[in-house]
Amino acid sequence: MTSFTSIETPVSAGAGNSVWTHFRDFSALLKPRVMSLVVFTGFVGMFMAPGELHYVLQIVAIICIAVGAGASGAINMWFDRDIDQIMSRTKGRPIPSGRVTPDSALTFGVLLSGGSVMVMGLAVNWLAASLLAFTIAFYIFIYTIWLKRSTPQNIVIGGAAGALPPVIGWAAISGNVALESLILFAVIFIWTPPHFWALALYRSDDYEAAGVPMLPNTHGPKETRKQILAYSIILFAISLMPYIIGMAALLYVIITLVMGVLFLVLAWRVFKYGLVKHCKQLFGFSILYLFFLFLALLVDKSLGLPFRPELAKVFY
Amino acid sequence: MNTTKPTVATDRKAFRDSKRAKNWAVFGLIAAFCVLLFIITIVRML
Repeated sequence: MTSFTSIETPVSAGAGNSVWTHFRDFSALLKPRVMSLVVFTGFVGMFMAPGELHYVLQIVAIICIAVGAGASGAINMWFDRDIDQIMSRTKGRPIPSGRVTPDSALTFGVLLSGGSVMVMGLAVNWLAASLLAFTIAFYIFIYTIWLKRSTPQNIVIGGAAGALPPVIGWAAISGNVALESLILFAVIFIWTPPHFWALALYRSDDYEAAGVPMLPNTHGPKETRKQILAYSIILFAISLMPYIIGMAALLYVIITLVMGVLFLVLAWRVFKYGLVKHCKQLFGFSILYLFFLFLALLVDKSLGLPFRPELAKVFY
Repeated sequence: MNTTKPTVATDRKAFRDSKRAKNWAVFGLIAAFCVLLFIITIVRML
């Protein structure tokens, strides 16, 4: 901990703090907006998986995925507190603003991480628990501690942690890791670089000041824009895989094609012009893109009308 | 004064030695992973 700059400030809120304020600050440590997408994709993984699990245990599994993701976010905030206080996007977080002490955040994160893995193992199954533990460890040790500050490929490789929730959800229900869950993993994994690099392009000053080697800072905007377009093209192709293997139907294909073309158009505009507004548009749209793709999977399966039943027979 | 026009081979070497090459190597690995998923899918369908 000695390598960090001095931000070991005491909690400044003082006696005026209510329980509600503490609750809000500790909730913020869990990165609720990131958590919401993790929970959603994890839920879709569970919903798509073959198998039976009591609905109470399904809720437990979702809570464990949510808490595990949030806990790793809290530990990430503990480790990154030195750079969080420099970046305008993050300096209002509970630790750099002095509302939560670093030690409290670390304890909170470690307890929740351990608790979520244990409950998942005891209540659901140990494969899902192992995958959850791996995801938390990968996010903390591989991404946060190692890659984030050492390579511009940080969010590419680190993106694996954010892509694993559907695999955990699938394993919670079926007790295995199937090709279908790996395809859901691949969709999120390949979606991550264009999503984060679009943000990094218009936040490059922030990352520069904090010394985080994001691609626009290390290789320049032009190279970043090329990479965004390249990953967007692969994303378009891989997003059709759920249909090809028969786990999705017509609605999914329509939504994927429409959203995929829009994604490519926005990525092309970032590549061609690279204005801040284009980067913001791509970043915002990419969140909607992932949400609608996974929503389409849910709706398709809920309707129970597989468009290609001959394929569904092969895989289920 | 003679100027040497860069050849394709020297361009490739310069690219391999550049920092950009690592980015495209990672991209290539990920693309290969996607192709592998696709091949597994097709094999399972046969």
